[in-house]
Amino acid sequence: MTKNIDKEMVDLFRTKAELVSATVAEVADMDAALQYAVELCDSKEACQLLLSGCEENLSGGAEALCETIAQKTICAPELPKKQFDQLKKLSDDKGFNCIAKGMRENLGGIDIGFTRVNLGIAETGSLVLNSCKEEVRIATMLAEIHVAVLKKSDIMADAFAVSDYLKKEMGKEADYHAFITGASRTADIERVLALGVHGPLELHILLLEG
Amino acid sequence: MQNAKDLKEYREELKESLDNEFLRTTLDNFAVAYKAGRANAFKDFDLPQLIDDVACAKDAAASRIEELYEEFKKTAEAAGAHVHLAKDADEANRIIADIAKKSDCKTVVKSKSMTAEETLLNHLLEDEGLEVTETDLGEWIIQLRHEGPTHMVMPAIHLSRHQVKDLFSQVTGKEQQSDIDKLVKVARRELRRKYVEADMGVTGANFAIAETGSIGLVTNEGNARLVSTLPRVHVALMGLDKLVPSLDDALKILKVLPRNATGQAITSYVTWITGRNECASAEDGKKEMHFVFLDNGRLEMAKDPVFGEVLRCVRCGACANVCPVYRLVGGHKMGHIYIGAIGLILTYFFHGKEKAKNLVQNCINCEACKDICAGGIDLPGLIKEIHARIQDEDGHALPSILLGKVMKNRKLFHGLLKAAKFARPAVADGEGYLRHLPMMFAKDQASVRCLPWPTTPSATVGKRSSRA
Ligand code: SF4
Repeated sequence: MTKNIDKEMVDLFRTKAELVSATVAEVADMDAALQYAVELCDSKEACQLLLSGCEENLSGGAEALCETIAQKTICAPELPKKQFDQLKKLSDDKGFNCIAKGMRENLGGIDIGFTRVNLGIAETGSLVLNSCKEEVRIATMLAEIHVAVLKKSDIMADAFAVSDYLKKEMGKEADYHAFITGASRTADIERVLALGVHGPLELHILLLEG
Repeated sequence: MQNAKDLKEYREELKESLDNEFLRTTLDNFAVAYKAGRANAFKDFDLPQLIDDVACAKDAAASRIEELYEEFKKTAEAAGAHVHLAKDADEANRIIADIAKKSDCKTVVKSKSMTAEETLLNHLLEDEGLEVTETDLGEWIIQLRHEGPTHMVMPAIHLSRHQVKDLFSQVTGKEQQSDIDKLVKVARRELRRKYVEADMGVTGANFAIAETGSIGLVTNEGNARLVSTLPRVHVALMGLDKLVPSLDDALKILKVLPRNATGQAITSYVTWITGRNECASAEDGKKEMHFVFLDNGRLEMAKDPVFGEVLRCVRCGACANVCPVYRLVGGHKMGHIYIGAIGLILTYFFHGKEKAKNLVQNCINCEACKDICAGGIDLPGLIKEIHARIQDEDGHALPSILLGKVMKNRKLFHGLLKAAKFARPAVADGEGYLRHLPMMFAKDQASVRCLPWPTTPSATVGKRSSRA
């Protein structure tokens, strides 16, 4: 079941995603993707918001929420068991907490949300993510960094090319899908762009061969 | 928001805006940046064709709006969601307050919804004892300041970082800095707690897709994803004009909306929601889902041969971005709730003649909004029509307050003319005169019939190519 990889489309996807400040990297296989996530977690500050959020003067209640963050955490909901076990092992070695669920106990925020995404849209550098599982929604919103794995052959030309897929999903009794393009952003104060207003400060897209 | 009780008060308000240098510089910078950003976003596309696609899709939807509502209701209810139709703003607010009561909700988080602004939803919910928090950064800022938005896409564009710093210092009870990145992080942390505590999430919707009973939400901050995920009840409030037959129609609009709004190819998040999704905080593990549709005159408008095209509006805000008068006075004086050219029109229909009266005479009829509109709406033509209607009803001409103020100040006057030219170069003909007489200069103002154009070589531009 090998699908064709359109190199031009992959390049366009990459260019467009980078334009909205996503980090795009290539990985040979899932092992490499898991490795990437753990290394990224290792190299990032314990809580990036310590630099720019927690250290700020917050009201009592908001500060209390910050204090629930004890240890670096990676959440990877919806990963096949074998891949999750592998991620857990890599995380354990580093002393990170690795979870597949329980995001509601981690609403203060986590370090990395790790997902495989369903499709990519080249025209806008967007990811199409099935977010029916609440854990997926919360993990990809409350993580400081979202790491998303996308198969190159799943990159489509534009939104109209994903419409057949999406219509089928939206026709189900319950459905929640997202197009995600770059990190969470705002320009609400003096039109100055700031990333990570509610969701991730960074989006890393790992392009998987095949 | 348009709160002036009479002409005298409106005159005072206008003067305040005209004296506000920060506001004008901000809006001037924005107008320039917007134009470049938009041009870049559309450079690979046949823009007139895209606008035409939006206009056709919206017109087709409006022509069978009731049928689409029935279809949406049927599909959404089959999926276990509740669908409500409110005939006016009060009823919409009432419905939502009742949902809150019935489901025992005490706290509400909201993502941005112009429809909720239209109905003044927060006022009623707060009167009912609910704690309501806006989570869109700009909306939160203006909520804390107890004022209305000054732009449909950037509600707090009228405020400086220093004002936001003072506000946040007050709210957190601790001194903050004027660094925008840091202010954004303070909001992130403060608002996170609100999501966690909330029982009900209220969102708007950019699309209501009849075929599958789904909504589409277009946001940059991602707050709508959290608002629609963490609380156990989700209420989506939207005008009936958001109905489209299928996902493909929504995608056509999505292609134009963010590009025309902010020059982005797409926003950071576009969310598609159908039915009752998984929600751990709900009793049966599934979200209690309500779709509230607001009529408030839209059904009648859909049948109106002249004003029907108003329903094409996708709320991109572009008609404010290019409006030279908006640049001069800002959103609080160029709209009641809805801002910009479309604001003048919607104020008349949704909020009545009295609120619209002071506003419509501000239009200088430069037609910049017509050129930029994502739905190809003849905005200046419709404003003229409303102007005429109000004059007919009142039996006399509307006084031109803004004109009086601007004419007295040479700098402002030339600023306005320059802005009008920038927005739409072809407004001047080869001889350096305004070809169209601005509405506020019309009627009683015979003495200013020929307005000298600020002369620059580029004033002699060719005929603009107009969209068929
Ligand atoms: S009237 Fe046109 S330009 Fe103005 S907000 Fe609506 S779609 Fe955008």
